[in-house]
Amino acid sequence: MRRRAFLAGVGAAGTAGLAGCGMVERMYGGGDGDDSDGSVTRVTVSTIDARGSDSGEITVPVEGSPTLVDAFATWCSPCKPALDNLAAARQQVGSDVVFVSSTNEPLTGDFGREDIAEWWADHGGEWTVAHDGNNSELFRELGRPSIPTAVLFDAAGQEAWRHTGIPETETVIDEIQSVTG
Amino acid sequence: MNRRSYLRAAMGAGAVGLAGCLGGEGVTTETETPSPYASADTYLDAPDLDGPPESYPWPAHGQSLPEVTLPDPLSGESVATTQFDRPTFVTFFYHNCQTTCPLLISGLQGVQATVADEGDPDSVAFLPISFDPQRDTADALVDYADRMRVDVDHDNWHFLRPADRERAKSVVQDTFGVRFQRTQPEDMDMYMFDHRGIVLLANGDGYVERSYRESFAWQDLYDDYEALREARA
Repeated sequence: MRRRAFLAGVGAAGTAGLAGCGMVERMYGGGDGDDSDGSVTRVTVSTIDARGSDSGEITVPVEGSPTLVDAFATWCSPCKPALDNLAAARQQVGSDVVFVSSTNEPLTGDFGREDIAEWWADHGGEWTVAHDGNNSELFRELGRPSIPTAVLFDAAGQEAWRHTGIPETETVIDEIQSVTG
Repeated sequence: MNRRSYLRAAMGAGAVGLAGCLGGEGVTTETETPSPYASADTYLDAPDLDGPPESYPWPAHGQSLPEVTLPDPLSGESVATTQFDRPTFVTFFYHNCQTTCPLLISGLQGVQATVADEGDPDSVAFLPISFDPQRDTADALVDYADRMRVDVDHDNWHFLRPADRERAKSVVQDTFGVRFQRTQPEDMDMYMFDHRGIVLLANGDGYVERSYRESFAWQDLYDDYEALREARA
């Protein structure tokens, strides 16, 4: 089964954070997660005032819309080419899918939201960019992936595709089109 | 204080509910029956293991942290892995690594930045051990620390670098059981490594509490460190 429903599986198992490694391994191990009941765990992250992004909150996956979540970090070298390819794909698919990039880097006295905004502008980001709180709730929901990882959810909030590393632009477009019909 | 009773209290409060859900070692769960891998030398309960701790290539729960003395190329001093009487994180990296190592280092950095903000930076130590002594020069490590926002000026952080390739193999692979193999990717003009991504958390008494594989959030490390610090207090 290619289209995995990690979030549904976690939701069914109860408290997401406690769902455990079995769930994570299953997600990576071929996806026999239970997506039959269609339950979805959505996570709210704090959005940043940056290029193409407003300060506030967003809950992902976005209800009623396909959502592409990009887990990134400002220390991550491959995140720049990954961002380029996501941006190129986004140009093609228009507004059919909501893009959200999120980092869980610790905010401290030396590193704040403005530093994320600066990195975002320097690297060509042009959609909603968010900070994953102080508890990495979204990152944990995604199964603590390597960085960068792009995860596509369909309009029902089910995980449809994910890629760790630098995704090919054409692949991203194809995957998005397969959930936008 | 009885270590087990502390842990039950902490689990009841949910304080360490997220601890240790990483790679090969499962989430810590409270059970009526003690883990078969319970250790008298640890403060945290045993995580769910796939097998006995000694079946892992690297030191796992309840096993001794290997004692190795290595130079810190930034300070010039020699540092022993077991010299800190406090929770100690050990990991294995090279600075040219693009994916796994930044995750490992950023995990430690997240803890370092947080304890600094809390005003308690001396409650923990960080020992990232290089397995690429050829390229992990002092200058390269300073630049790398800057990029990763690591505070190398605080002496809770020591990059450790074996003297040469042979010593790197001996320490990292033979002593710590963390396999690495040089590779030459076709699309790159420099060598890289296939390697395991491992972080160890030792308790300050010379025993390993947790060994994490590369899939973790920095808060997972912090949560275990915090539980350990409180249990030792």
